[in-house]
Amino acid sequence: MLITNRSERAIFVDKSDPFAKPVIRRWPKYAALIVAALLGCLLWFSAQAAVPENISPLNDVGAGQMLLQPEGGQLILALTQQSKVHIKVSGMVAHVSLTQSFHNNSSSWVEGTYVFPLPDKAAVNRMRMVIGERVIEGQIKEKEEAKQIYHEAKAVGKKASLISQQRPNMFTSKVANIGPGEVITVQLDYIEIIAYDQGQFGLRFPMTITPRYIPGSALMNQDEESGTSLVAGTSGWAVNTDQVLDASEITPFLNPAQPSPQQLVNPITVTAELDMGMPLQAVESAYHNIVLSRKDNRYQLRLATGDVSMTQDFSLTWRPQPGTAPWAAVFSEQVDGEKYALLLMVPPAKNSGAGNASSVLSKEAIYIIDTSGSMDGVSIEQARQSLLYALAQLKPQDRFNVISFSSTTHTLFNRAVAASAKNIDYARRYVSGLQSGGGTEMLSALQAALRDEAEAGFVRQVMFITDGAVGNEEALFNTIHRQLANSRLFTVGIGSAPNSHFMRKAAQFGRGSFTHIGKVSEVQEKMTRLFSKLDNPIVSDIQVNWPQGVKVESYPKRLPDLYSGEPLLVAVKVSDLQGAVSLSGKAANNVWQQEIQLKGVQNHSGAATLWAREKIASLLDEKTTGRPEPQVRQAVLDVALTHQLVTPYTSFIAVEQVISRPVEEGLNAEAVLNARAKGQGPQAYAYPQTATGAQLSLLWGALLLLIAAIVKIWSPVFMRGEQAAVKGAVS
Amino acid sequence: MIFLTLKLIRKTVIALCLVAGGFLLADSGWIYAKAQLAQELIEEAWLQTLETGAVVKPWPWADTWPWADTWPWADTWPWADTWPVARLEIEAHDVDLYVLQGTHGSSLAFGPGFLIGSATPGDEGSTIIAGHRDTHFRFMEELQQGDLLKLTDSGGDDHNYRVEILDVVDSNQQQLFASSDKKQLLLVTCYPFNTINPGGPLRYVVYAEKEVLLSM
Repeated sequence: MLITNRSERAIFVDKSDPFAKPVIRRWPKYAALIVAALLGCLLWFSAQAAVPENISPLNDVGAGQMLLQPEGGQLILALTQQSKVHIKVSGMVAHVSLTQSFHNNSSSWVEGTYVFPLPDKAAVNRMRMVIGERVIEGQIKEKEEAKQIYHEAKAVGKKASLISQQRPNMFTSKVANIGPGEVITVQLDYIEIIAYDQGQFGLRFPMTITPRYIPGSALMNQDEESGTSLVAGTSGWAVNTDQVLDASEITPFLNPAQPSPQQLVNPITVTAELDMGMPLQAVESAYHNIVLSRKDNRYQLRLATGDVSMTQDFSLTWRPQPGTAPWAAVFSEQVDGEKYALLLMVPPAKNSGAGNASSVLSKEAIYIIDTSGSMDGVSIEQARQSLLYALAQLKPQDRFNVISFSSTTHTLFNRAVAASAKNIDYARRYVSGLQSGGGTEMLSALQAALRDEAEAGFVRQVMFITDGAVGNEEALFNTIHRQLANSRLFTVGIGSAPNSHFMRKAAQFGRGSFTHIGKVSEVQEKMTRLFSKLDNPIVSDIQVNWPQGVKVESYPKRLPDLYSGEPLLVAVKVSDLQGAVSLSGKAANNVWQQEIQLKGVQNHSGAATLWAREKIASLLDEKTTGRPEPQVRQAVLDVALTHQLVTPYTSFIAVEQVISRPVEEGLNAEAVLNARAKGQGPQAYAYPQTATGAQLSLLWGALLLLIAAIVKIWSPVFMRGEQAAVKGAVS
Repeated sequence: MIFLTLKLIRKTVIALCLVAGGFLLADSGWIYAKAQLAQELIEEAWLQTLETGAVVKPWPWADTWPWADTWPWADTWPWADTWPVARLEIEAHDVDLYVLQGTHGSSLAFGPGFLIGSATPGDEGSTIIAGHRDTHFRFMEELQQGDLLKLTDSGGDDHNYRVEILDVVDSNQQQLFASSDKKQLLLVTCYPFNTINPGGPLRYVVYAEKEVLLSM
């Protein structure tokens, strides 16, 4: 009775309210009308605008790229890319010139995108766009500004080229308005320091990108939000996630074609010139056949087969003849009144007692092996062999554990166990049975490895065997930095195209060292070298003292400990190059000290650029260790703009002033497909998002309308109550 | 005073709920309407594709007008960047769908999407097609082993596939690996079929192997 009464009253109140009731009744109608009208407009417009647009004759679309079929011929991609690299080594510095020619094989205008790798320490300091005879010099600009300029040039029909950095070892080249049948060439110059390790010089030119694993959950609605991606639909095989915000930009598609000498995928020619100022003992290319010629102390080489597919990193190593090995080198350069120098020094080898010092301390070795899907193929075999080799090196007094991971982490023993014959045998059988497949959830594996601390009297060494094919490098570096404690992390890079940036930086933050293994037959040699580092005492407490009164800005800021055979590398900006610099350090309780004369040091172009590159790397490391990004960004911008370097915040842009594409002709977006790394398993894809929010919207919509109705009906009751209460209080 | 404030709050709540609710209902209706009606429009483009052997975009928008890139709203209509690449028919379940290029949200709104980079229909390797579980690929719930799938490529050739495996996977735990030697068709949608939340990690994957002999 009471209830009926109230609802009657409610209805009465409703009628007296000019606002609520009509809204309840009419809103759905209005909404429906608006929707219908919108829909009608859209469909009408679509139908009107559905003019056929012939882009290319095609029988097969689907490789992420337009395919053309010339009469009677085989399929050709609409956009192909051909590279040429020339490496010139003088002293400890390599000047490399890389040209990428983009061929538009279609009859339409094309915008090309190519995501490609470079050495992780490359300092890219020059770019030119070559169109026939014309050469347009690229300019370094702040990244967003460069992108803006590129966008505008592309839209009005000017030829333009943009080089930006996704990772220190991954770059994107974009070329707008390549005419039908036309070729546009982008030429990049970079400088890098030659690696020197255990008496051997080396450099590595990466060729392709092993598909990276993208952890995290997909960000919704990114199609609408990622207006940043210049090309809709062709950017990458992965979608951006909460852990890898730029996933779609670092996951270029692979060419499904199986490369063969008859059918090259992304052909490249490699030529090199070595001038070390001394005779060399052996010049070797681990994965490619080369032709070598010598004139005095200058060596020239090229690939034996001419062009090759970009399926495996090019690795070149050489040794000086015995007795001529350098122990120190200084290169200097003066740019705009500033003096820069590079200082390299190999600490003296111990005269006696090698190995004795290390045998005092036993080690706790933790082996992490990556068994994710990207390791499929030859990589997992290389990884297993490396780990089996490592297990064989254990001494009875050591302790060890094995951690394998893909989507989940599995630790063989609860914690490190004694390296007894029984335990090792158990581990060997476990490792031999490991198969690849699944994701690359590296974080939990690293955490599992760094969680425990070594018992007193043990040195804790973590060996991480992986291809580093992940997209969340920075989060991993951060974890290593925070959780390392007394452990040391050593990375072993596996496969034909490992992520060298990951290997180097993980080892740097892990205060260890890194090595690369590119084929099973290399396992023995490379692991022997690595173990000689692990078993020999490190050089620590290294100090570099410059003459008094000399102002010095030196990188890396904190000098690392050196493992046996590793050189010390310091890049400095100095006010004066006079006198002598003294170096000192400790190795197994021996203190050594040495002096290098600075007078009359070799003048060498590139020293300034390499100093800037080192400074930028050091600044970016600070981001990982906690400095706020805006500060890091500003500091990097200052250096990069002065020294003309590509960084995460600066890009090269070149624009031709002539308008070449008539505005009425369309522009097709095409991506260069990367070659599948040699021996690599099949391409992995991210699962697409396959549900709409329709049901969710429906539910929420209905719920909100229900709430509106409930509020409508119930609130007068409350108010009556309030009124009564107020009246009661007054009386 | 209290009374007046309450009244105002009440009105505001009702108005807000009505507007937001109406908007959400419209949004939901819009999604279903797009999914349904777009297929009709695509048919036109598909027929032209078969006839001319060329890529035909059902909505040319930005692409036909190069300067459209500079429009401030150019990015809100990226779905013009798709076109029909195949036709999927399953007689047993009364399915007839045009498959669009790409699996980004902007093409899946209008039809099932061909995963860029996966094998061309009929070729060696995995041809991967994904669709929304609550619109185009709702039928996947009913697919059974042995069902016959017919895929027509843009050249007009038919390829028949027989359903072999039905699988549920966690997309947070693994990626989708394409076979490189088998000729197979993978249909992917979200799982479970009748959940409200669109962002779940589970996927329903149907593997179908190519039939060597045409069964008709």
